[in-house]
Amino acid sequence: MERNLLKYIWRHSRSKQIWIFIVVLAAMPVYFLMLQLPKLIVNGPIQAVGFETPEATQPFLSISLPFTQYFTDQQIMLFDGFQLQRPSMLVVLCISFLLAVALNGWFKLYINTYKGKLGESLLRRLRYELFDRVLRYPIGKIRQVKPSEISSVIKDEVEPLGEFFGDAFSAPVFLGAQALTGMTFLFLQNTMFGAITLGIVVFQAWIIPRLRRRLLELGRRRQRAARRLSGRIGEYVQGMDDVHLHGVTNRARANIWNILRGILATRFELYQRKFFVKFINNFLIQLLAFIFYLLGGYLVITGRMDLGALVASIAAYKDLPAPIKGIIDWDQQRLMNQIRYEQAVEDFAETEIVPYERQVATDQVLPHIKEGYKLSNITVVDSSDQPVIESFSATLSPREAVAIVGGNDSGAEQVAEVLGRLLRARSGSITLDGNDLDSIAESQTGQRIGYADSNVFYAGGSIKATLAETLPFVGDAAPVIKNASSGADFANYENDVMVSADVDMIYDVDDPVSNPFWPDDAFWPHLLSVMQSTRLYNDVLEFGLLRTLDDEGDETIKASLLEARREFADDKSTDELSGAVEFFDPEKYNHQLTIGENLIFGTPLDAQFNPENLPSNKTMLGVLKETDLMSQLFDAGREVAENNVELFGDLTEDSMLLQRTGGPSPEQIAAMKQMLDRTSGKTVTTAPANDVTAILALAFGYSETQSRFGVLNEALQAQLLNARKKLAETLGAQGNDCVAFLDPARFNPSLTIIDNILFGRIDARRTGARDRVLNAIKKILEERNISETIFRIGLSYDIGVAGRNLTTSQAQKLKVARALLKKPDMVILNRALSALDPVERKAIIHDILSLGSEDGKRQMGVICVPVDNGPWDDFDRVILMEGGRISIDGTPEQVAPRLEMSNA
Amino acid sequence: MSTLKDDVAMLRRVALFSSVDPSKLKLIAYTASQRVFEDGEMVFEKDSNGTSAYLIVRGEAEILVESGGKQVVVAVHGRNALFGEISAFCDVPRTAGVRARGQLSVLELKRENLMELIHEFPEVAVEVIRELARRLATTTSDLAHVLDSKETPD
Repeated sequence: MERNLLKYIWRHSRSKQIWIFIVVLAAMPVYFLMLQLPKLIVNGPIQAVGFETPEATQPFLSISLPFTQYFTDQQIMLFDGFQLQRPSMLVVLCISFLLAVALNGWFKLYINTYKGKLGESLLRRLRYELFDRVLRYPIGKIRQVKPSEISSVIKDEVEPLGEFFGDAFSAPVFLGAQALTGMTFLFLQNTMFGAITLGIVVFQAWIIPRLRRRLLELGRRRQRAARRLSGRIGEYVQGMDDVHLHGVTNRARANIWNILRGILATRFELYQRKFFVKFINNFLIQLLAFIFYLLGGYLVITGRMDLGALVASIAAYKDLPAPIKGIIDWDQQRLMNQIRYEQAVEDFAETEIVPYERQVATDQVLPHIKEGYKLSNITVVDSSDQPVIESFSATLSPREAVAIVGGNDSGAEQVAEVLGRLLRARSGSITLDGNDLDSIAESQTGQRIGYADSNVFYAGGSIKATLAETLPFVGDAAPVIKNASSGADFANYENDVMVSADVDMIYDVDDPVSNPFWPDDAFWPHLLSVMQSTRLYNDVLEFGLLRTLDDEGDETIKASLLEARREFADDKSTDELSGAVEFFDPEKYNHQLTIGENLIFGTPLDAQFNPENLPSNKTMLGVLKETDLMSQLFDAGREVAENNVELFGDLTEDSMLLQRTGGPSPEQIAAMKQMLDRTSGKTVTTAPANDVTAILALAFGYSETQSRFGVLNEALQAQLLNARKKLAETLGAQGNDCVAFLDPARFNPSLTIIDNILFGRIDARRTGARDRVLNAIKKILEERNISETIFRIGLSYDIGVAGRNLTTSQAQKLKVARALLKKPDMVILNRALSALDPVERKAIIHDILSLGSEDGKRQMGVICVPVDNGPWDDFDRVILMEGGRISIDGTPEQVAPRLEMSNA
Repeated sequence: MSTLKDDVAMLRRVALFSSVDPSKLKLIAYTASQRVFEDGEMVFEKDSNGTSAYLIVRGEAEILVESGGKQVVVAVHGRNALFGEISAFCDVPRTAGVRARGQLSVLELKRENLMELIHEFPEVAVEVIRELARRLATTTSDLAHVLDSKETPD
């Protein structure tokens, strides 16, 4: 990667920089004209030079051949111009001035816009190039870098360069030309003033770089500190668990505080230096003004200089400080940005990256692996140069299932990592189908080799997206940047959308799919078998059961779910489930629900009908009054309060018992006591309104199965049922759909799928009931052929940031599923599924082994570094490793005695 | 479904709680959870780490001991019987397994709640000590009997 910023800019934006240069040149005469015209106006029409008589005329737009007076005695005129009188001349010159100003403004507008775009596109290129290199970092290197530092470099550190890119060449040219024009103009006006100005400028050019050296060092230090800051913050956020567990939040604070303090100190010194340099600059420039006014004024007073010339000189001078200051600023920026750039790309440029060919996009399906791996004399060393694998030689064919067995220091894991190219061998050769493994493109191994270990990291999103993310594809793709290229590869994309949608998933060579992001139905059986063999099917099915069907949910699914509901309700006769579920029946009071829930008997769709809002809900209160329930519920609420006070009133405030029972808080108990006092002897009509609401809230939240205060008798239940009906009627009459009622004959979209099937509540007293119910429901779904549909819904379950909504075993299973989903020719399982219990893990490995073989013929090679010690019967071959070397390699029968020995 | 009142009445009949103040009994009942086990379902296995005591509300529970690789029913408890209290008070694994015979309804009294209750109301502790001491006395005299009857033949 180019280390010099200006060279980098020139290489990748040469033509644009030249165009800017041309435009700047074109703008110069206009700029000169804009300076020249005021002088002509003042000297000509205003001071009447050349208009001594009223009829006198002067030429306008006369064009002479330049410099001819030096060679011939007279100027050669190309165009004599228009002869104009004094007033007309004034008007024409002023209009010309206006035009010059407008044109000059337009040039500035064009140049600035163009520079902005140039800067941003070059910045895009630089960022892309840096990320391209990150993708090509060797695995060993990438494991050492801090993620937040990398993102800080790519996102923040290079950002200011964007503003500089556009100015890199055009600004010095533009400003230089301006300064030069101004200077020339000044020289033409007055040689002495020109010489003085030149002298000061040369002095500036000498002094400033000397003042700036320290500034550059500070800039470097500031950048390093800022990067360290983002690295540390990233580490603290990632390791927040330990920060809390060890109570070291204050150490973290101190650490960050120190970095921040360092940044402030650096920045402060930086500002001091920077503004001191500015001060010197400004002072030197203003010194010129002093000289101009004093010397020029003196010369005019003594009559040795005409006033017009002084005014013109001062006008010319006025436009000089800006460009000179600009050039100085530009140079400052150049240096700062050169440092910024060097620092940013330093690490990227120094790291050796994998060659361009390894990652280049392919637009075809690559051939299957036929012979497999051949390793000869592989030696791998660890970070302290100790050998972990020594002279390992073996062939691993896609037509066999091999177990590489060994303890943690046997080197077995490292062999798998070498095969997966996550680890590089120090010496020896590895070939895949006869080609050096290093020379094989990642697209080839990506398409044909599956790899899973026990490390899991997911970006987040749905299960489906997580599975689809690693499915290989062929087709048009964003470019890999060639190492020493002039950027031609990338140039095509400079103004394009990078990723074309025209890509094909490769899951089946004969039947490429149309949908690039999720394969179609032809893929389905394979997905199902992978999910079954990794035992993820059930998890996903349960995720699906816990989701709601959105409104657009297929009617046929809803109908089948309703039938499943009926079937499940009929199934209750079986012994196992009898009484375990209290079904939702509009004609019956449901004891598992609270009084409030029993009243609305549905899911609130409007916040007004949320449990906490019921006591103040007008419709609800109206119905209660109509059904004479107000005073009864008031009494019931009081009874709940009395019971609570009696139970918990004597407990101390910090009582664990109070906290553990989930009962009311001490404050609530105190409030209940007061409320009971206030309402004692009063009825619902005479009690204070606030207390009535609070007491009703207690009644609404009461559930007999939970609290068992014996508040609900048969008569009250019947009355509540009556009120339930009334409420439904009232809401129906109002055409109000703020409650989705529980209707056994209708699908309820606001309930989860499982609740729609269950359509009731599991009796909380039955500990084992949940699993039995779940199994019964799954069985029904299976029989009705709708479990696949629900599985499909479950695939859209959100796995959370970094997959945190999954258990570790689920996450590890998902990793294996990803490796198998692409139908690899060979799959490498490196201590995969370590978080599972041994029984399940062995069953999964067994299934994967049989998944890879059809009619006794092996279709998919399996290389497994197992977590467990056997059984080996499923494998064709076992390689036992000890201390980094192969101790025996053969069929399970051959190896068995030796294995027993090493186990003992 | 039993109400707190029923539960309190039942707790009163248990020797351990017989002289505990009714309002405290209500608290014990409230902190207990009702559980229902189907016929043949295990309430807990032998040697498992349980911390709850159970009071039978309805139905019967079989006490199982492993003997020669087979589960043998050594006792059947009925209504109002308390079991599992040893593990609830001392930190020892279950000394026997318990299985539901027919549908079994129990009140589950969790150790932490019992302990908290003792902590909060020391008079409960006195009752518990009295009851346990009484049991110890009974066991000791039983043991003396057994030893006596063993020594007699010699």
